[in-house]
Amino acid sequence: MQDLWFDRWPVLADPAVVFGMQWMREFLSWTFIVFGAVFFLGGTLGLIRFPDLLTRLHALTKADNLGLGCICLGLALRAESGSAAAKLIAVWGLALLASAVSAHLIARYAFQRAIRRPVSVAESPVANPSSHDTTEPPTRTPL
Amino acid sequence: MNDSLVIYLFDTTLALGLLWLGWRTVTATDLFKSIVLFIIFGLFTALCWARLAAPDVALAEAALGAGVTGALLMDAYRVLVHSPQPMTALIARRSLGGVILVLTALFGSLLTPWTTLPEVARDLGEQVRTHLPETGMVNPVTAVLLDFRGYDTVLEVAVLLLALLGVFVLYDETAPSPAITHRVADSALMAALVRLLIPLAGLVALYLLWVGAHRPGGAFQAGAVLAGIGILLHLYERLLPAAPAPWWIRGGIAMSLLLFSSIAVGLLLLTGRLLDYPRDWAKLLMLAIEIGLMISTALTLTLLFSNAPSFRIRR
Repeated sequence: MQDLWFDRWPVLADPAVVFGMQWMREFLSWTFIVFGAVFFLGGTLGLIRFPDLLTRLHALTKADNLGLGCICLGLALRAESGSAAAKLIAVWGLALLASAVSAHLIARYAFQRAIRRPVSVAESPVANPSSHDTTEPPTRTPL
Repeated sequence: MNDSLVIYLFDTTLALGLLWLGWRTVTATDLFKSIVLFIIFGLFTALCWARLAAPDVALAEAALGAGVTGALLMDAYRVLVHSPQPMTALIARRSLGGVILVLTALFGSLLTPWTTLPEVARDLGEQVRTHLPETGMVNPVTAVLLDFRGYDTVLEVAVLLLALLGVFVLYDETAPSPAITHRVADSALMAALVRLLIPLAGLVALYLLWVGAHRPGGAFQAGAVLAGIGILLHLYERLLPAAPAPWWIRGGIAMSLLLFSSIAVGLLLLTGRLLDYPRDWAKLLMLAIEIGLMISTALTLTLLFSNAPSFRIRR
């Protein structure tokens, strides 16, 4: 493998040198992973229990992406090289971008359909688009 | 903490979840629910592949099976909703027993070779490992895909081309497109995000193509990432369907099949054996085939999604 510049800097101290550092690394990584799982659980709970499409989207993007970030951070602490850790952080960044694009598309569609009352996904206009638009789009279009 | 117990629980959850998801996908009354459950089923299958230590197949399953197919199904759902015929449940309740019977018979017949297995297993992995240095690749999956079983890959490419030809044949220029009543194209945030995402996706695709030689990756996965960009541009209304395909689109679609089969025929004429790469040229030939595969797969999947023979770029 090529000699990459961040491979010369290990993520934390060498485990064989200081046992205390090894314990802290394990503890930190487990803490981050557990927090990530808790955030994912919260996001899924929000997806199931929130009344409106936009609030559910909010729960999905905010909580799940934070959970992904925590899990990526916890895994990056356990990575075997600096480049593997950087790839994990890059995975988080790319997932943020992708979810930003898709969530914005869905939210914009729902906003322009003027979804106001709480509906389930199956009966909302997202799942049942109508060819003739009876609702007025709002005068000030969102970003 | 007993590691094997945790892994056992994880595997059991995965297997049972697969079964339950498959059941619910078929028996859900709402078509939208079925599609969403199918996408989740694809992701579970990708997890299973990863758990079986097959990361290449997991990548392909997540990108193509869950990603592109899911987007395709959602688009088909949007067109179906606009059609005047009412949408009924996929399988009527009373015929469910017959479906279960047929499926059990099918899978039961798939299990019968179990009784006729040979006594000593032939270790194909050992043969692959011994002959791997001849191909110049480190990743055995890519070597099998492009060298040892290259003939299968040629046929796969031909099948993809045939599917796209179906789109060419069925394209109806005069049919009204389903109403896209809200212009998503004039969103400033989307413009910025797409401008950021496209070069990144190109970089990821080229990385997947290059790293397929010695890590999980490869041409199909790279083509799927590029097709994702094509689908995004189509949804963002940058790429609009157009009718006659210009020469460069036709060339791009047919490129991988032409390249692969011309290499095969050339090698047949030179060495007398089909797809037997000479040792010094193996890596170069496989790289050329992979580049052609990536471009063709990306173009084919994008055109399959947009359901048109060609596209034009909207300024």
